[in-house]
Parts: sequence; C-alpha cells; structure tokens
Amino acid sequence: MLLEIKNLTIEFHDHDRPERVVEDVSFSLDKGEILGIVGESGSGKSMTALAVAGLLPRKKMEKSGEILFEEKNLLTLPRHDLRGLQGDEISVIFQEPMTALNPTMKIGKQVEEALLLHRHMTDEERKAKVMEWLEKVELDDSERVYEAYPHELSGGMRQRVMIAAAMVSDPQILIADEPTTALDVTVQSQIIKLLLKINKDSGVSILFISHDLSLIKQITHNVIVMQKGRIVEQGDTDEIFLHPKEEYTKKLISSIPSVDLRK
Amino acid sequence: MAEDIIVKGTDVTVSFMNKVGNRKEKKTVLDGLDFDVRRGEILGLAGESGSGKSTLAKAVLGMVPLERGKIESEVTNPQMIFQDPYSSLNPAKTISWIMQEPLKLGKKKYSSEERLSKVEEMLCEVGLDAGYMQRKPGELSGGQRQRICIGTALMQAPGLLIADEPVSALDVTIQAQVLDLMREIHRKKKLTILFISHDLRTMYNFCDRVMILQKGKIVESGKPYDLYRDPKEPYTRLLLESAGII
Amino acid sequence: MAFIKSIKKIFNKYHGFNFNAGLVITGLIFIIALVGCFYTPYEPTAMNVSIRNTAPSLAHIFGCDDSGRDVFSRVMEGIRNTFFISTMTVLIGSGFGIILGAAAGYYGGKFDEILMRINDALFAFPSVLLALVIVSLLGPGFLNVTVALGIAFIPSFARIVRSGFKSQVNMDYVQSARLMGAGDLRIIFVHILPNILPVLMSSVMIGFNNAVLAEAGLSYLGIGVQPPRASLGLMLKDGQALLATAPWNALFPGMVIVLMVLGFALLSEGISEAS
Repeated sequence: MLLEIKNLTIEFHDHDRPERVVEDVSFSLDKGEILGIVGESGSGKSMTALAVAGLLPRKKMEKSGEILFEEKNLLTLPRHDLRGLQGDEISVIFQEPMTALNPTMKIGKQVEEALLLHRHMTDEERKAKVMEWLEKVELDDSERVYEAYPHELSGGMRQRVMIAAAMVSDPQILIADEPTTALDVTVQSQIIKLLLKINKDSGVSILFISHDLSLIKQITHNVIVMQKGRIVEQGDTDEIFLHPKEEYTKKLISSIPSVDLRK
Repeated sequence: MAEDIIVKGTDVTVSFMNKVGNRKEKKTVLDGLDFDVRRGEILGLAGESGSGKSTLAKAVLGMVPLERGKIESEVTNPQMIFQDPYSSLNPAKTISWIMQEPLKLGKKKYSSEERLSKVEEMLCEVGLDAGYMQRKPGELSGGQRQRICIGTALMQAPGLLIADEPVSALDVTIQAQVLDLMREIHRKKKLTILFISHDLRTMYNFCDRVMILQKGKIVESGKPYDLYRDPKEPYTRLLLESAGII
Repeated sequence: MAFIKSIKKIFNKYHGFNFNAGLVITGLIFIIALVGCFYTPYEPTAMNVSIRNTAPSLAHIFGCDDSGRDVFSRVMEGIRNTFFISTMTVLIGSGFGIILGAAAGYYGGKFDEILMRINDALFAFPSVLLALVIVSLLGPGFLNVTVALGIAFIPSFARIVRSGFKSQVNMDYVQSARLMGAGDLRIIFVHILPNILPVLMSSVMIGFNNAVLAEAGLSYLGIGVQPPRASLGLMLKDGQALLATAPWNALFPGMVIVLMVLGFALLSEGISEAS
C-alpha cells in the first residue's frame, strides 16, 4: 500500500459557522493503481485531493485524521519535509492548463523546475530528462516546444506539458484534478490515453478526480463516489458501474445519457 | 421557403478581423454554410471549440453581420439561453423583476397584477414556485438559475429558442433535470429549439437532427441514430470515438 | 423611485465599524451645516471691535476673529458653504461622469476612443489645477467655483463608470435583455447601472473628500468663496497670520476640514469593504 488515508475530516473556519467539507474519508492507493474520485460540485473531491497533495492552507481550517505516505503523516509533517515530497514523490496536474503554467517562462524551464528543486543534476542531464519527457507525452517537435512560451501552444499541448512537468521527477503518485474538463472531446480522449500509457510504463499511481463518470469508467481501476463530503460508495470500477448499491450512485450513473445504437 | 422551414441559411459566411500585432488578419469563422431549421424540431449543433457553433447561433439572431450569403427567417421573437447561468441573470435584480422584463418590453401592455400572476405561473412551469420571486440570482443554485433563464425566455412565446450549451456548466444529475424540463416544454409548446453542445451523448436522445460543425463548415448532418450508427466522415467518427460512443 | 430604493438598500447592507464611524462624523457635520442654514449663535458677519481676537469663552466657544466676529458662527456658515459646494461638485461630476462613462463603456468603438482620449488629457491635470483654469476663465465667486470643480471632477467619474460598464456589457444578461427588445437607454440605466452602484458609491465618497479639499484650497487661494461670506479655506487663510497670537482662528476651521475628510474617507472605506 502506497498511500493510506484514515478518517480524514476537513473543516473550514473562515466564516461565522465552521463548514465541514470532507467528513471521515478513508481509502488507500496501491502502487500502480488508478483510483478515481467522482462527485458533483461540493462533494469534497477536490478538497480530498488537495489534502493529499499537501496544498491546503494551514490557517483557517481544521484537519483531522491521517494521510500516510511512506510511514509519514502528511497532515502533521513539518512544512520543510512536505516541500521535499511535493513535486518529487507527489505531483499534481490541474484543470486549467493556461493558468497552471507561468505565461512568462519558457516551457523547458517550467518542466525542469522539479528537477532543479529536488535533484542534483548537471544542466545537460536535466535537459536530457526534460526532452525525454516531452517526447514521452507525445509532443511532436519537442525541441520547439522546449523553447516556446505557454501562449504559443494549444490547450491540449499545454496539458501534455503539465503532465511532463509533473512526471519529470518520476513521482510515485500523480494527482490529476479534472485534467481534461477544459479540453475538447477529441483532445480529452488523447490525454486519457496518454495517462493510461504513462501509468502502464512508469507504474505511477494516479488519483484521478472528475465529475465525468464516463471518463472515470474509461480510466480507473477503482472508484470512490463522494457526496457532500462523505464517501457514498467505493470499490472496483466495473463492479460499481454494473451493480451500484447506493441510491446516489445509481442516480449518478443513470444521468449519463445512454446511446443505444442497436436496432 | 418550404412550409415547415422557419430559418433557411444559404452560403452563410462570417469573418472577423483579428489584430495580430500591428497587422489585421481576417479569420473566417463560418465558411459558406447551407442549413435550415424546421418548425417544431430540436436541431443539435455539435462541434468543438472554434467550430463556429456559437457564431452560427448569433448569425441566426442577426447579431453578427454576414460577409456573404443570407439567412431568411420567419421567426418572431427568438430567445436565447446561455451556458453560464451565473452571468446570464442580472445580479442586481430580483427574480420577479427579471421575469417581468420581457412583458414590460413587449407590444402588449400588462398591468402589474397580470405580470405577477404570469411570472408565478411560469415559475411553476419551470419547476419552481412563487417563493423564488423576491430572491436574487446570487441566492440560487446553477440549476435553479438555468430554470429561471428558461422561464424568462418563454415569457413572450418565442418562435425559436437557442440554447447555447445550456447544461454544460451544471452538475450531471442537474443536467438531466434541466434537459427533462426542456424536453417537456418542447413537447407542450411545440417549441423549435436550436441546441448547441459539444456533448454528442446528450444530443443523441435530445435532438431530432444533429449537424456537425468543424472549423466553420458543416461536416455532416442527419438523424442522430443514422449519423451515430453510420458516420460517413472521419471527423464524425473521431468525435464519436472520443466520446466513447463507438 | 427605484434608484433611490437601491441606494437605500446599499446603505442597509453596510454596518462595519468604518461605515458607522464615518456615518456618525459626516452626519454630525451635516446636521451642523443644516442648522447653520437657519440659526447661528451670532450673525457670522457681525463685527465687534471690542472683542477682537478674544480667546474661546462660554459666550464665544471658538473665540473671536480679527474683526471681532464669532468664529463658531463663521465655522457653521463655512461648513454650510463647503458642504453645498462639494455636494454640487460631486453631483455635477458624477452626473455627467455617469452619462459619458456609460456611453463610452456601452457603445465602445471610435466613440469610446475619442471620449477617453479627451478624458485622459483632462485627467493629466490635477483636478484643482483644472478648476483653477476654469475659474480664471469664469472669474471667481461662489457659483463659478462650484461649476469649475464640477467640471474638473467629471473625468475621474467617467473613467470609473466606463470601466464598470466595460466589464458588464458583454455579460449574458445584457445580451438577453437586448434579445427581449430592451432599448439602449433602458439597458444602460435600468439593467447595468445598478450593478456598478457599489463601486460608484465608494468613489462618490472619495469625490466628496477631494471636493472638500479642493474647495478649501481654492478659497485659501482667494478665488473661491469671497469675503465677507465664510468658507473653511478662507478662514484658514485669514487665521494663518494670527497663528501665534490667536491660534483658534485657524485651528477650528482646520479641525473641521480634517473631520469632514476623515468622515468621508471612512464611509468610502466602509462601502468598499462590504462590496
């Protein structure tokens, strides 16, 4: 078991009344597993992902429970040690590839950032590693992309760059928070195929957050269904899609428009 | 025009001038489209970003100038609902005010009692109730706002309803509810709907006819069943594959 | 009226410390100005050589000036005049500013370009300097100062309203109002304007501030309110020479200016905090 979350509860304290956004969530992520978290807005799926990534603010919120990674509890880990893990062992890709990339920095520099922070490498080694990943994410003309600025690339290419930047330090966990929501359908399916390939080749575990059940069905091995901060149901993806136990899961699945092409 | 055709476009071409640095560049958004909209149908307009589907809607409404071609329309009072239910309702006004506005602007004059009772009636019709009248859009959820948008568009019996990605900003379970509402209204009022979307799955059950756009051109059109079962063009096939349909 | 109602609603919305403190201070000064219209303890222009430059006492709580006039009565009249001028200034400035800014922001294009370039040109001068130029054209005096300051304040309001309109004009609700058949005027004033009122209110308060200071400045230079009428700036100027011997002549008008500015600044802060 690579990552284990035990009784995670997150409460916001920035308003008059405390607001519980995640309540008593427990799950685990194995090596090489693609685990999906699916839910509607306000389900707490992104909060859970941010907590695992260590990206939640320290003030104005109360967190309890445990997030265990390599026998360390990420919730109580000193800031410095957490920084050591972020972008090295645990990487994140976000929904909006335009704002996730720095518009004034060349792609190559942005992709090598994680190596600069976490690895002792010569410039040549770093560049070689970056080029290797730019090619692995199937960007044609990777030399040009290396020297390009984010606005010169299309949305799909930017998301590939984000994946390269996240994977360049060979992390053990990749957290993908709605990575394809802002993209066109054709590009979306390419990115999904790419993530599947990377998972197979490098064995990275992926925590895949989405509101889109058909994507979850395509890509994940196991799935967690969340609603209003709580886990409704979790288990093997195919099993849950075929035999959902909870009302809410059934409702979610039935809201995917069916396309029946048999006569 | 044939009897049941209410909008007919011939060779519709729309271009915008784009400023690229100092020079101006012409960008053709719609490129010689021939299409028609038939009375009482739900016509789906599918395409990815940049396909020109929203521009086509604006052209039908006469909101963008045509460079070439013409659009003949016998539609009276066309209305539109938008993707983002957060910007399509005036945040400073109450629901009652927003829904009365079309009645105030129409040719026929109503007393304020008549207007209020019509608003109440319409709120029921879109699945809400009179309790919402004094609320402001900020207090409503996305799905409720979209219902208000639909209700407001229906206040003055529109001849055509253009729905530009009306459910893509909503949660999946809410999407299904809003689509059900639109379907019901379509049936009850024999309303013609131009449904713009990137989601081919939704269109399959919702639309009578689907038109697929790519880079300002119509790739293929037809009944969803025929089109999805036997796509003639590679681009249609690609879209269907990407959506996991075939 | 709908407009007044929505302003009322805006006031109901605010109850922070800044807003309340500002409301108390400006309210107090406003009441003094109002009372000053009907009653002052002494005639503000009545001179009495026997009590020249007497220190504050029970009979003359702010003391008497160089001509034996009651300073408190003159401060009351000064507040009244300053209040009137700054209110008119803000009304003229925001009124024309709203019309020009709304038109520029709503219609955009060439019209916007031209209007905003003129605006920029005017904006390049400090508004007091601009008012100075206009006063020198119109000649000094109570009304002329009001008009001059009003004109000088138009650009800043026009700019704020324009940027507000620019951000709203492409919102879907404006499109749908257009589809319903609402005319431009209706869309501008009924649909869009209420949405930029919070921003506008806050800048109106800052405008009051600047107007108070500008009026005091102009009167101090002797081209504003003309003697024997009283104005806070004028009193400051007259009192300055006597600062060592009879400091109350300058001290009290100065304090009132500070209080007025503080009050409006707090109000403006309170409004922008809540929105």
